[in-house]
Amino acid sequence: MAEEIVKNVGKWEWSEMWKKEDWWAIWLGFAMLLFGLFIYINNAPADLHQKIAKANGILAAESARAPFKTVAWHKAVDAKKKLKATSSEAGKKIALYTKEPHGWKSNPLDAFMMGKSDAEAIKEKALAKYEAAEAKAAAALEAAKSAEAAAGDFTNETLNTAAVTAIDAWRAAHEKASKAKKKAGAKPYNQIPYLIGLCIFLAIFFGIGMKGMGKPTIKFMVGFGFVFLIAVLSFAAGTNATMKSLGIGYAAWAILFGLIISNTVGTPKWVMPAVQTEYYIKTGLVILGAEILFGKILSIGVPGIFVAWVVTPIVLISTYIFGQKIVKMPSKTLNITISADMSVCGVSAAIATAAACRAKKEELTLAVGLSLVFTSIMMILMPAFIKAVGMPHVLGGAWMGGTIDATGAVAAAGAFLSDKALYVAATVKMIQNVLIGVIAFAVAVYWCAKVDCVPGEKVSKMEIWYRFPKFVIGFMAASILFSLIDQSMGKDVSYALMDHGAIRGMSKIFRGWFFCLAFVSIGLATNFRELKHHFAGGKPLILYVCGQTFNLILTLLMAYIMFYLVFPEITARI
Amino acid sequence: MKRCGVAMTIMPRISEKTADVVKRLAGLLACILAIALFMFYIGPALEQTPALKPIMQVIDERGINANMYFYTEVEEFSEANINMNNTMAYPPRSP
Repeated sequence: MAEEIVKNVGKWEWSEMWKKEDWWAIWLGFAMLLFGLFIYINNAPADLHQKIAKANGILAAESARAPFKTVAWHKAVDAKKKLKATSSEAGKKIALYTKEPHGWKSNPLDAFMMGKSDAEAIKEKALAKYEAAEAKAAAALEAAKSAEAAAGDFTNETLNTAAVTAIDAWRAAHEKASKAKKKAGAKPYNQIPYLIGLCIFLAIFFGIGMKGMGKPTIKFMVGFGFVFLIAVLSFAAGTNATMKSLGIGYAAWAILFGLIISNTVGTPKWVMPAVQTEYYIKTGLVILGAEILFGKILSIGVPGIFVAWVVTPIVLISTYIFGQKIVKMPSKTLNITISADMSVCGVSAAIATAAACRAKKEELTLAVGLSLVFTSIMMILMPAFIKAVGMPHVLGGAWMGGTIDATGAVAAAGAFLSDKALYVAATVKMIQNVLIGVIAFAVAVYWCAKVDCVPGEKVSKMEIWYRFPKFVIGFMAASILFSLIDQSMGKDVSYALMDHGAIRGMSKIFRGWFFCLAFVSIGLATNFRELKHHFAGGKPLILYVCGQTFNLILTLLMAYIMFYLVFPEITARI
Repeated sequence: MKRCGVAMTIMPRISEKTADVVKRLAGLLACILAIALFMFYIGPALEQTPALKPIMQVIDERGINANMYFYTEVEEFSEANINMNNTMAYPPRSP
């Protein structure tokens, strides 16, 4: 990565805006985001505002009526959940044309195509399970309604508790039935033509930027087919049921497949023009900016801010200083990338921080590798420990959300305990995810102003601007723009048009592809020996383990103080 | 004689190159086999171990993408977000 950076020229030239990679990442990223906004705002669910008003009316009445979340309260929330712009015809088409390979269990071909008979067999098998789950959910609903009716005017504590237990049981059964319904909807498919179409589209999309930068466009497009093919295989490996469960995703496979090719048969020379790690990462990060909505940080009130936005920077800075002073990390960029990856949210934080401080590609690989290994371990050990010691699920959820790196693993660990633990863990993690924007910006400024200069040198504001990685501006601008739109729409409309529209229906999809292409490129350009050199003395491992230990202690302490000592009323509501 | 000498110097080079290609291909094949072994035998066996089985069952039943990296990629985060938003906006009244 570091070899390909835009060098500091000490002066500003307007031509940078159409000649440099950072700016092309901004233009391309914004073109995609604005296209997504246009599509989904014009494909809003029918009667959106009326349906939201109706559901909110019920919610207001139920919250005033009962001291717990009633059946009608949950049904009103369920009604709002269904309002998604991604369910429109346009949304479904975008999903179809851009979808990564399908999930599969034992036959890798199922990732790409499935015949009618196979789909029917799966459907038949799943239908029986769905019908059983649906019957259980219906029975649980009746029991919940009866228990709620028995509670009468809600003055009897015992009857209230019985109603809450019955409603919780219904929600769990309802959740299982919903998931079973999805599996019962198996249909035949052939994803190959769409993948070819997507490859051509992305080759042209990135090719426009290559042309603008004066790089060999045709050679890029020819090589791109190979990089895209490896990205497809990486996604296919990540969609394997076992790999999904073990937490080994496309990033790990992309790096591994790239490494295997480059270190065995060698990366073909004609592929090298398309090995554009920085270009893919920067464009992906600009798009990621749209997913960083500042309104999310208040999702669980003040306790969430303390657990995610106070503890995380403390751990990040402490780990970085510890790495410099005690562990004596040989590289500052490796130190900050591991510190951010461990304290914020794993792979995505590592990508953003590495790009902001211009870390080497091997350093990013190492940080991602460490995160993936420890995420899998923590996903299994933490919920088991919480269960064994009988820790309250709100506390356990906050603890896991603040410490387990990857979001998917947080969801799995939370769901293993209970829905309550899942909701708290996921919300804390989501708030922490938003911190990426601030961290990347702060690291970029710090590196320009302090690290990348002669000791004792005072850097002017203009000099910082010359050195600043410009794509970070696009990243922050996307985050601010989408946060403002999100706030102006209000939470319910934003859920339908932004969360389940421009973000999950556009940004998330393409950002995933771009990061995967970047990881493939990293692998294709990396030598095992270079990687080994960065791991010398096991210092990265020592840094990660020490930092994570501190993170575990501080997060647990803060979660306990906030959720049980300072704001117990918020905990009671959850 | 001259032609024979040229042939003798080229031959070892060709065989060295071939050996190198074979070595590289063998390395690629070994890696593919190792991945297949992990994906189809070691991974599923790990899933069945008593330590991992309970959480693996939950992941499978709920269809959780445990290998995703950002909150927008995991459906459970959307569920959690909307539930938490409504819990904060419409909390149950005090008993």
